[in-house]
Amino acid sequence: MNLRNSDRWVPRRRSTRNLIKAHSLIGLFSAALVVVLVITGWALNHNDGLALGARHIKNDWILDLYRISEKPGVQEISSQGLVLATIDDAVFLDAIFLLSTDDTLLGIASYNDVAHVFSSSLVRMYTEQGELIETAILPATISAVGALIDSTLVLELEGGGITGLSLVSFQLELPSTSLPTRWQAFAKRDNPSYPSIVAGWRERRLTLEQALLDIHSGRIFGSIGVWLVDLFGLLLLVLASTGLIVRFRRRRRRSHQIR
Amino acid sequence: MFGGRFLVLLVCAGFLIVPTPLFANDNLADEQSSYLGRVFGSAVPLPKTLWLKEDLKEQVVDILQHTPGFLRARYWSDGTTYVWVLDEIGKTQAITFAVRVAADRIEELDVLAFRESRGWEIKHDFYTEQFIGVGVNDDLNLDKPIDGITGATLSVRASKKVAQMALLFTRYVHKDIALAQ
Repeated sequence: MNLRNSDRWVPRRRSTRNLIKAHSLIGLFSAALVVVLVITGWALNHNDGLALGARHIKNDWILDLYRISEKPGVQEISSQGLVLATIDDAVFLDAIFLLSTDDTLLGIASYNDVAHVFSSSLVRMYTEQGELIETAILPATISAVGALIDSTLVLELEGGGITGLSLVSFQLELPSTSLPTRWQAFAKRDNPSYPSIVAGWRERRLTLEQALLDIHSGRIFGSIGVWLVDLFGLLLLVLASTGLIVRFRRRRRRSHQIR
Repeated sequence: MFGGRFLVLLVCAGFLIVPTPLFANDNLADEQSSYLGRVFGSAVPLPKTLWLKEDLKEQVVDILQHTPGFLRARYWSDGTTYVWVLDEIGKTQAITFAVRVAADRIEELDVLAFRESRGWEIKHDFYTEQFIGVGVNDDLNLDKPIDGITGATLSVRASKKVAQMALLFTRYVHKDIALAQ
C-alpha cells in the first residue's frame, strides 16, 4: 500500500528516531540467526522421524572444528584375556562396543563368563556378547581394581585401604591369599589389540543430531558460542522492547494529532 | 527516559535466568549404603537378583515402552520389605531410583542419582511422597494419580515407570516364592 507523504509517520523526537534505527539494525542482524535457530529447532523437534542420531557427519572441516582426530587415542586394560579399550568416551570389550560414558573406568574382571567393568562407584556386568546384564552400585567407592583371587576381586578404597569384593555375594571381604600390589591401569596403545575399533572411527564420531544441537545452542563455537547465543537472546528481548516502545509512541502521537 | 525503561526491561530479563542445580553421583556407593542402612538397620540382607525371563520382560517392555537395558534387577529383602535399585533414562541420562516396597505397596521412592541437567525437581519430598501407599492394578498401572511437575515431564515419567517396575518385580518375587513353597 502506498502512503501519501502526509500519512507517513515521522518521529519528532531524536530518541525515537535512534530507537527505530537501533530496532532496524538489531532486526537485520537477528533475522539471519532466527532463520538458523528455527531450522535447527524444527529439525531437532523431529529428531526421531528424521533419524538425526543415526546420520553421521563426514565433512572434514566440521570434524576438524570438533577436533576429532584421524588417529584416535586408544587406551587399553588387559585382564584375564579380556581387553577393555576406550576411545574418547566409547568403551569396547574386545572388539564389541559396550557404551559411551563420562565415568572414569578403573578395571575389568571376568567371573562365570560375566565381564565386570568397574568405575569408582559402579560395576557394569556384560555377557560375552556385550549385552548389559546389570549395572550395580558398589558397596564402597573405589579408586583402583586389582586381580581376581578365586571369586574375590581386590580393590583399593577411595581414601586409602585395600579390600576385596566377592563377585558371588557382592559383599566386601578380604581375599584369603595375600594381596597383590599391582593395580589395573589404562595404557595408551598406538597399535590397538583390535584395530577394527579404530577403522572408520572419525566418520562415526559425530551425529547430525549432535551438530544441530551444538549449532542451536552455539556450542559449536565453544563456550564463546554459548555466550553469543545468550547475547542474541538478549537482543531479541531488546528488539521486542524497542518495537513496543516505538509503537506506543507512534500511537500516542497519532492520538494527540486526532485531538 | 528510554535508558530507565531499558534498565527495567533488563532487570526483568535477568529474573528469567534461573540457575539449574546439578546432582552429581560421585558418592553413589555411600548413598546406597546409607539408604539400605536406614531401611534395614545394621542387618542389611545380602543382595539378590531377579532375572528378566521372557514373560516378565514382556511386561517390563509394556511399562517402559522400550526394551529394558538390563537382563536382571538387584534387590534387598528381609522377607517383608523389598528395596529395588533401578535405573531409567529420563531424557538422555539414567536416573537411579531406590524403591522400598512392602505388602505390594510403595513405602518410599528415592532418587539416588540424577544425571540429567533438567527435571531434578523429582528429588524433592513434595513429589516423592506422592508414591507412598501406591500399588498397581491388574493392568500394572499405578492405582493412585501422581501429579507431574512442569519442566520435569520426562523425569516424572521415568519415576512412574520405575515405581511400576518395582511393584511388578515384588509381585513376581512373591509368586516365585509361593511356587517354590
